[in-house]
Amino acid sequence: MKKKAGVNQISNRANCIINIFFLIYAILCIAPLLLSLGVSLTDEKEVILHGFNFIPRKFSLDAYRFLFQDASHVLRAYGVSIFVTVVGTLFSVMLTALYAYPISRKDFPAAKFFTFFIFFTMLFNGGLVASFYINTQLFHFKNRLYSLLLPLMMNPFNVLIVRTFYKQSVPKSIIESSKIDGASEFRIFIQMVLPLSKPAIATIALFDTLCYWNDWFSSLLYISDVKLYSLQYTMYTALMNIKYLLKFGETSSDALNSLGTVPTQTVRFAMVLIAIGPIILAYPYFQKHFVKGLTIGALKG
Amino acid sequence: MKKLVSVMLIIVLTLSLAACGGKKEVEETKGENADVENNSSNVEEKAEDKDELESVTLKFTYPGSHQEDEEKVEEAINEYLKDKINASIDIEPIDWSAFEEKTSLMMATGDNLDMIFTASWMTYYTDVAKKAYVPMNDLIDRYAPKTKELLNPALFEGPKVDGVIYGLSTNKETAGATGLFFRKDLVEKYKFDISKIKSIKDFETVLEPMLETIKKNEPGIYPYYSNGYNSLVSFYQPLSIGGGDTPGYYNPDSGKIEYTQESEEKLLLYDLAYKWANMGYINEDAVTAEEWVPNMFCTWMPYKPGKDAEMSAQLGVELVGEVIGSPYTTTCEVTGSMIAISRNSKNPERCMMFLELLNTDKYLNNLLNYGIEDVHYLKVKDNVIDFPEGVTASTSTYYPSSQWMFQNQFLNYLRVGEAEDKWEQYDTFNKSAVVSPLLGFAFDATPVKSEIAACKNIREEFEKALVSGVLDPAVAVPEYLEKLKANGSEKIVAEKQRQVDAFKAKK
Amino acid sequence: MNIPNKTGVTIMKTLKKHFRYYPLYLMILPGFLLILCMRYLPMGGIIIAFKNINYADGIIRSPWCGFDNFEFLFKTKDVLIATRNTLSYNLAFIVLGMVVSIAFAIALCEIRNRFAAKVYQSIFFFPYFLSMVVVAYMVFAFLGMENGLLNKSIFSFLNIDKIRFYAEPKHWPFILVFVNLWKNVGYSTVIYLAAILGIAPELYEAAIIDGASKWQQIIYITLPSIKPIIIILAIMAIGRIFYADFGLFYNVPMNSGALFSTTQVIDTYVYRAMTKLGDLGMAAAAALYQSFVGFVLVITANWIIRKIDSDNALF
Repeated sequence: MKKKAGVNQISNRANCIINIFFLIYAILCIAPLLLSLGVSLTDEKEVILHGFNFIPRKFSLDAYRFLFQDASHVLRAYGVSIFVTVVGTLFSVMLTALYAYPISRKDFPAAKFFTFFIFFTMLFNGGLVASFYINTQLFHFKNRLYSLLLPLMMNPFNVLIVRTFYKQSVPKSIIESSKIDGASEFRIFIQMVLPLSKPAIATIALFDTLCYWNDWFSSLLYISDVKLYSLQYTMYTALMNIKYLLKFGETSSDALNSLGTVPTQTVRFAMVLIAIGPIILAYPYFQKHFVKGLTIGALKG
Repeated sequence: MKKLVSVMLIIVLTLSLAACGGKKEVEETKGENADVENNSSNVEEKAEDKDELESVTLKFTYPGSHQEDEEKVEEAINEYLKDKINASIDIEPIDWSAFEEKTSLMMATGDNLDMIFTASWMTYYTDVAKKAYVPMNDLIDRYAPKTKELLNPALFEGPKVDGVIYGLSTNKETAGATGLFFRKDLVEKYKFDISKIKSIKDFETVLEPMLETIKKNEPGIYPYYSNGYNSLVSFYQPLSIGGGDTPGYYNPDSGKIEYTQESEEKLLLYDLAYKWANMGYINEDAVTAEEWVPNMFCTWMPYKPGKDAEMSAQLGVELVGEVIGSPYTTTCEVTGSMIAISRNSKNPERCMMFLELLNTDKYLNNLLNYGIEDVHYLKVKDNVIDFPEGVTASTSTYYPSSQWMFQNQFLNYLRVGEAEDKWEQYDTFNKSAVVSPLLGFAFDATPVKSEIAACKNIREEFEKALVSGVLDPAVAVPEYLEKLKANGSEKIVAEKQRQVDAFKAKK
Repeated sequence: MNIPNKTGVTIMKTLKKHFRYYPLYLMILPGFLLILCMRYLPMGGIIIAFKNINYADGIIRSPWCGFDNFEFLFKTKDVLIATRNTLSYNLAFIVLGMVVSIAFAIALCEIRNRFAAKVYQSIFFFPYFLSMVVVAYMVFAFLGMENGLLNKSIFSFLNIDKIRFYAEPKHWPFILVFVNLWKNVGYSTVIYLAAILGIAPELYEAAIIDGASKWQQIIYITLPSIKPIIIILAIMAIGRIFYADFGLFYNVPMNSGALFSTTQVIDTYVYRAMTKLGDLGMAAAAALYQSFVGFVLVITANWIIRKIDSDNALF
């Protein structure tokens, strides 16, 4: 955050008002999470009779016990998710940062072309059928881990954000003077541009992490081997299977028969929390890097 | 030097991406491996059969969750099948939530599917229209003659589209019926005589006072429980064409396609729903509720023999059910569970041979349904089984709970707790049904698909709210009809009439 | 000797011009290949919108059907309502989202207690982690008729009549706008925050010396400095103006038909029309329609921006 002289701080009154407002909003943000936590720790019958409450009327770990009775599956799913997230983010950030740099350079002749090239994909895409066809027939995506990595790598949105940051935080003068000094493009990029753009890089790293962590659709399309299920997919299918069976149940009693043991309300909320779990830790980790970015910026002046 | 390093870095990055995929490669599905092994080792091994059958792998795709011991059971099945038809089975369950999407993608991109589960309430008709399945008439005659003899002929009429069968139906209950289910303990507590309720006309006179009693004396119990489309109005079951969510049903008395929203019975039920909702007899979250709860007094459920036992087990409270009206057999009932063969299958004949076995071979049928004896279940009596000590439905390593999908249910072992004469009951139930005059008719929606798209949305807008008693029918129903007509429903009705008349003429 | 080579010379010149930048080309290469394979190869799929697909002929050999698949997108009043809803909600989301996120970002920079600021920042981001399916459950926990926190506990405590949220459309524009903001504000705030952090402190120091007040600093330094990112985000949002967040408009209102007049958007309309119809062509037509409109709008917006402030145009 900015280091300002005490004299440039906002008035006490303004500070107070902002703080109160933020406090209320913060509670609003956490409340649903706490509600879910509360419900997941409540005894099922209590929920049916008395509805959802923040504080469990009757404490019970049944929901979690139910989910973890198959602990090996859950842990394995966690493993898959973590691997995909870490590796995916790493590669994605690298590719994004690399791609965004040349198109941010005004003197690069093909800048406009490549910008349009990637932006166009935000607007038009060939549709699910075509992607599925190409991915499974040409690239052999079935049941491979890279099918979870590649589709999400390089989000055009992120590329354009990083490009804007490069333009904004890296003055042309620096690049020109470095060139005069005889530095290569790669060196300029790694030693000058990247450090100046730390906040941006940290930002898209965070977005990529979330994107990979939350993705269940790729698993749905390409994975049928249970050993490769991601965590989100495991939770998602459990929740959505109910929805679908009930939807089919509208017109067929047979589908209703397959409902079998429907996860209860409490279990559903427990699933939500398990799925979110580790990712909440990701945010504070990235936040550190925002701060670092500032210090470098101050030095540069 | 640095430049070189950077260039190398980038090349390495791209290469490792490709390598990454290779390193983490999971074994190809066992089916393909088995195929290769079988092919090479099978050169000497010949089937006893007069026809020299090559060993093949057949994929069996159905909606459901993956079972832990799936491979073990597959092995057992393949052992058994080797001598019979020299084929191995690759069981491929796909989660319900992904089933329609994934199978349609697989079919659209020419994937190697063999046998797929399908149903009229899923995408059977649209898939047939898209030529996804292999015609079965000849296949059944040649490779499944015993099945053809065994099964109720209605099961072969129903799936016909223009005279061609595309799906082999499961032999189970072929009749449907609407049932009113009650909490047994509450019925006994207040000494209600539920046998007096025979038809919809008895609702207001006999059922309503019961609801009143419950409302007054049992605060935590919902008198009438309604969730989404499973409501009071579900007791009205018209002969729908092209799906119950498109306008126009067939009135057998007049031979005409009419609007359900204009039928006396349905309007009566709409009014009753509205009345009861206002009196507080229907649960207030009916519009958003999705499933049944144990603390309800009575509700609608599709009826079949043994249903009360099933639902009692599921909800944890004892229920008792009454049939309202009479059982009926329409195309819906006989196409609720079918197995089709994909046009992209390389071995449609072998698939049919397998299906013949599934319909006639008791050992195979139960192997697929329940797993391996003594491992996944124990025989308690000759035809009755139960889980092994300490295992339940949710902890079992093989319990697909999909008996109704795997063909001839009459071969299934009975589970502990089910009536011993369950299959006899089914038989009687099936035979007591009124058979629809339109059995075997399939509506082709292509000429009116835009209108149907529009009308579906209108239905979504009104129907759930009406059946939950939230909207006043006197106001909403005319609005509903008007909107439908403004969006092309007359065209749909006319098209349905045309196709139905053509069908009847051919008969 | 030179005349036949004129084109040759021009080609050589262009090649040389580009060749100077070969390191930059190398940097772009991996990303370029990835996008080419993952996004451009499948683009041929657009033809599905113009065909009547059957599985026997496959995509390539199925018969063409012109614009038939697009009919259902224009014929009915309902789809026009859905279109109106989509546009209105998106405009509200863009404008409100921007105003609120920027305000939050600036406020976060100004709070005195830095630790509190960090904590707030993290907490505001929480809702973004949740999927809409989950959010729908949570909203239901608040607004449900039978068990909802509002209806069951708060209203009965205050003796107000219960509100049938899931049957009355009039509440939903507010509910949905609020839920969307709540979910996404943290995300946008982070982007704007990163942008603000990149502003050189010297600018502020100079302003302070000149006696500028806090407000003046915000208006004359902060906002103009983050103008590029605001414009980019705005253009990208405009490109998606015909798309709606399906999870938001389908799951959160619990798929309740009574709410259609204020919750039906193009994506949900198409989905509801498609169930069981399974018509690949119609679905593809709808997607193409949304893309095309977005494309036209973006090109227009970019052209306008280029005239006003050419530095910040997208391309």
